[in-house]
Amino acid sequence: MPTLTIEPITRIEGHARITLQLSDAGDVERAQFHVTQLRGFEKFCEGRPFPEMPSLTARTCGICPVSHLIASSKACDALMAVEIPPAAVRLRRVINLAQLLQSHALSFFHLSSPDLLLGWDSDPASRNVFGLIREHPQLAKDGVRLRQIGQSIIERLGNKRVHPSWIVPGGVQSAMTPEVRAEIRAWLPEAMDIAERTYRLYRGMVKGFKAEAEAFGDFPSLFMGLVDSKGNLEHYDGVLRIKNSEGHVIEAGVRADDYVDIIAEAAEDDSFVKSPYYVPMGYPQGMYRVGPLARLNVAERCGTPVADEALDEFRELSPGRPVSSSFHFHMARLIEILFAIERLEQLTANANILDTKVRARARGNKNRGIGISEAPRGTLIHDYSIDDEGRITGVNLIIATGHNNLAMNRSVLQVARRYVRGPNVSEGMLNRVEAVIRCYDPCLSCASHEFGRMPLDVRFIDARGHELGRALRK
Amino acid sequence: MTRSVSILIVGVGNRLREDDAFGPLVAEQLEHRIDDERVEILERATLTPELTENLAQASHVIFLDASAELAPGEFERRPISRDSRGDLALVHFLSPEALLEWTTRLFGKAPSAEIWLMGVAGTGLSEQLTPTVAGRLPEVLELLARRIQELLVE
Repeated sequence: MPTLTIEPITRIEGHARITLQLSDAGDVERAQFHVTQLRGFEKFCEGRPFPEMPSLTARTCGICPVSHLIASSKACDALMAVEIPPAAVRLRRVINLAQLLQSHALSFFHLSSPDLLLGWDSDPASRNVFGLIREHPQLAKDGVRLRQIGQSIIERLGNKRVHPSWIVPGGVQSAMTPEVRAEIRAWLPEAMDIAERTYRLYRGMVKGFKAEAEAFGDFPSLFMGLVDSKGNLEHYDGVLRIKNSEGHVIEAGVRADDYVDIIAEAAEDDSFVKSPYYVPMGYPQGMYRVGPLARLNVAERCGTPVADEALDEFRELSPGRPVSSSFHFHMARLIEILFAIERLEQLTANANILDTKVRARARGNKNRGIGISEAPRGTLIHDYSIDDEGRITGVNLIIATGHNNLAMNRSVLQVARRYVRGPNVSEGMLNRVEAVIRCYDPCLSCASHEFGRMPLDVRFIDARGHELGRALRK
Repeated sequence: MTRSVSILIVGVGNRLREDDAFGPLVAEQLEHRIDDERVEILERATLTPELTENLAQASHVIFLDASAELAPGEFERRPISRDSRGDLALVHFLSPEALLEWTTRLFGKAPSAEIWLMGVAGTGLSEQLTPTVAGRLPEVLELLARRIQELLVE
């Protein structure tokens, strides 16, 4: 059977390739998304004192270290069996939302906009940020600015943009000063202007992407995300909710300690990313999606006015049911940007955020601690076990990209079947196959994002391993 | 977030990787020597697109970085200009030349620029510079302070 390999996949985090197996007639029969890098954090953290875990696991990723700091610190809070001070919770929420803001801005403005605004079939030589600057200069500047605002909030609170050590077991290292609060609040109106302007632009375009929406991962699946006590959008705390594609809530509120009752992980021979699934439905039928699309699907409301208005418009894409196309991750991301800015405004308006009691201290009081938060790309689980001396004896990290692994594979198959006809494959066809992966904004951790034209080596190989043809994109 | 400055100093590197910390350490020590609102000093693990705003506000930028191409302890300084080739397409980290290109395309202007490079003797897991590079630090710092004064006079 001829095989088509796309490697490397561009404008994602890390190293991966896609393999498409074609029938003799050139139709796509199978598709697989392989993650080809191994990190090994779960193993080499063993034996370390648990308070080191936030700093250690934050090194998993240079793009979303704050997310790991949050989930890790929550797992350590659980090991210490402490309730952290309310101001520390608010401050952790602030930095988590700032992380979401800068990450979503990068994904939408820099990584996906060239496809969305310049077209999947446009000249790859200009389908990049410079094409974007030429055609949409304001949008390109807005992307830089919005990301800078998110990064600056992280820097002001954590004293560093990358790998801040400010979030610690039991709370945070230091209180927010009035000066920092004033500075952050001064940036928010400009951030909101950018976010609303971009959302309006995209809302006006989204119906024009009907063909892509129907082919880019549009299938039934479960959706999972955190919700608060009212069932609303939540990124820091709360309980896990799962909805099916008919919109029925099948898990209303699973606490962090009970996540193993609903999530298990399968391993495949050809990828370093495991495939989590919903236990009651088994593997691989228990496929679910996480991230902005899933969060908006499982939540009752966002809980902030501008984002809720946008949520109503989002739900018009699929009245009465969850939005099932992964293409709409893009719109969901923009709505979460609106939400993040509104919540940042609310959180920093509260005078209690300046409280100076921001850390609880204790030694390990339990032998297992689980922390769950919502990273920009989806649910992030840190599960630690320690011995009586506080040394790590077991670690399990389930990251958003892992949760989405089964769905990404399914999405690749769908879009490839729609657009790829071998062996004469056009650049536009390949770009769509890559683009469906970019909808999920996968974080394969800490590798470079490539933007625009990338080397691509496509090989057609028959069942005996003979090369039938080759297409190179240099 | 960004202010108009005459001179922007950007120390680039990873403080956990021995001599790769050259740029950040020089930037940090410079902070203690220079107290002039016309000079902005930044430390970054990598150069990223949002730095374009800082560059657009400056008239001159000096990048401080470690180099694997130079011999251990070898020091080099040279002017650089924007370049639309090479890693221009990267998003999460840019070369200084690509960052200048981004700045020009986004803001219609970019500062004059130079890069100061130090050849690394080691990039292992350590927060300490190797003796080879640590021994060159005072001299580089002195040169840099003098260069900044020259630029301010200009």
